[in-house]
Amino acid sequence: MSALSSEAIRQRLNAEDLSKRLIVSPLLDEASQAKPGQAAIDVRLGFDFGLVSPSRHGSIDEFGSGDTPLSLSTLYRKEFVPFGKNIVIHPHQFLLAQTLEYLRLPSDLMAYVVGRSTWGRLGLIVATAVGIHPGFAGSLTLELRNLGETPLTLYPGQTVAQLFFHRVENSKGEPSSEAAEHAQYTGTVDMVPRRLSDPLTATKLRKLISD
Amino acid sequence: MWLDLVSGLIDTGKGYLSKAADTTLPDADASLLITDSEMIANHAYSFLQRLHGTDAGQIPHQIVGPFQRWVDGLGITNTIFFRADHVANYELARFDLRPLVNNINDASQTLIDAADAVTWPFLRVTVPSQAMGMLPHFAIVGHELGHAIQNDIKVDLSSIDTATVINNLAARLASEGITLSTSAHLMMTQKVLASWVNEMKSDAIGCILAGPAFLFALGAFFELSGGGYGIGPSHPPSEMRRRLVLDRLAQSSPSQVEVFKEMTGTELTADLNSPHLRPLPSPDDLYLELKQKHGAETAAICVALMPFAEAVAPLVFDEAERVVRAAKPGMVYDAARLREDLAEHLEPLRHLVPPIEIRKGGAVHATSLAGILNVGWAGLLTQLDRIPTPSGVSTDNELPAKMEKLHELLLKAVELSEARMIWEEQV
Repeated sequence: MSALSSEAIRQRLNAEDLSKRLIVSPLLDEASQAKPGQAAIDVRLGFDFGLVSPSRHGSIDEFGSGDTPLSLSTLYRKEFVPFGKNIVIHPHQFLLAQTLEYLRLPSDLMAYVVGRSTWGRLGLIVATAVGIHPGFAGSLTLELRNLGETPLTLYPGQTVAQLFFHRVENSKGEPSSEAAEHAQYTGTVDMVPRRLSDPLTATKLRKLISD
Repeated sequence: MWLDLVSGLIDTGKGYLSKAADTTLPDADASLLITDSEMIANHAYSFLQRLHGTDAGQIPHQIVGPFQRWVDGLGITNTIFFRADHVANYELARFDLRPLVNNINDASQTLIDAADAVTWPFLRVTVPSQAMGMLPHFAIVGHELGHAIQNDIKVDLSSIDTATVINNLAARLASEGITLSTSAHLMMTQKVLASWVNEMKSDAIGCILAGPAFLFALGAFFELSGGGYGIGPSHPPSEMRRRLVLDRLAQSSPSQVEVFKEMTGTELTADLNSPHLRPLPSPDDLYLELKQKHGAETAAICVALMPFAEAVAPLVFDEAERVVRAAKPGMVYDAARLREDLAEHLEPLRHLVPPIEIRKGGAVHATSLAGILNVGWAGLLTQLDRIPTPSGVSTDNELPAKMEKLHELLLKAVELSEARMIWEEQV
């Protein structure tokens, strides 16, 4: 599976054909975020953070409330941090963040989000759910965890992760046109997850639990 | 800054209480200090009440920065804040608390500093919560900012024929058995005219700042406001205001009306977003309705002024545009910008891409607030059926779900285009 070079990434960013265009917006400093020679785009920390509230539940149990779906939004407290302000992530703390950039992948590209090694060496893990499907549109949610021993002060606008892009091919080896238009996160700008299981899985599991 | 004033008042009250605790002070003096302290605390509380609706749960925080750009661009130096509240109308309120602060003996240094930090009068723009379901409605804030600079828009009305107004007024009053009293009725007429012209100036500013987005927001607001004609001693009729804005948008070649049709395939008509606005009846029927509400003289003046207001409108819009161009030419939203914004963003919006920035010849610049508002209205009015339905939404809820999605995307665009502007300003 080949990754897109910086040149190929730039071509995709400027593609006239919307169905082929890669959107990573805004790229505040395109020259440094998509450097020649690197096969990735650097993305920045955005303004919205989700702090995990100490849960009122003994555990996060999707089916613990019977037929009432668990509202995952109650687990988080949202915090807006503008440019010039900061948020501190303490050792072993977990919080959600968003990329500053809004992303839309064409149907023949997928991406991986990977933390920048500099942050990694300071103990910051940036993402655990790293795969981004073709057709995704939205702000990327980052799951930040400080595995280090020192608090880290984070500023919106800092480059925090990288996106690597790969072509997606159909069974004939041609560019895929099967975009995930109806995926759960299509067009989402909210970092808080909506559900753990898809409706069919949830229904079946609920039935198994109640039997 | 407003909270600094509240803190300053509380500090002042605490200072009074500290003095009252002095055991050497006569009881009467101590009692007076405590009473005064209570009065200051009441002021602090009333200050806090005026902040109602300013929290992020009421007004999207993303919109405040771009609004401030409008404020700065128009040369409004007053300290200003925005809020949303459950009120019927948009409103621009002015607060000048200097007399109050100056009359307080032994004001705390924090209160003095807070008052000095404000450029008075403090302005507060209120947006009715009922209109806040969708970001594009915010275009109407341009009208309220117009009120803040209405005195800078000086319109020379000497070339307009006033004789017809007086004759019509005299005839209408005569039919009621009232003799035209030149001085009294002229004074009433001038007062109504001044209010109407101020509304027209503010409409002009909204139109100049936001183009068709202002027309759509204005029409929607008129519909939300109820079933009346909008006409009274303070406001010209809603239908006329809407048409005057459309007339302005139809000026120049190509006009914004033409560009809208070209880019969306939909005719930009006055009632595109307000089909249920009550059309004005004949002048005689209108007079009879107004007479019941405002009395014969005011009703006669309003009806007599309508043709006059129409004649004045081009002068008002021209002068308003001259004022905006003098303040910051880039704030004038025109057909070229509408074309660029719709060409760049309308199709991507259908693919859930917010109108954040424009790529042009290798260069990239942020989309303006006016651009986002216009793309938003164009999407809402002409493309909603082509925006993907969010997953898991039932057929019955498709429309509101799409509108909610559109609102989210536009808010994201406002946030990120502002981020680009802030970033580029750092040198």
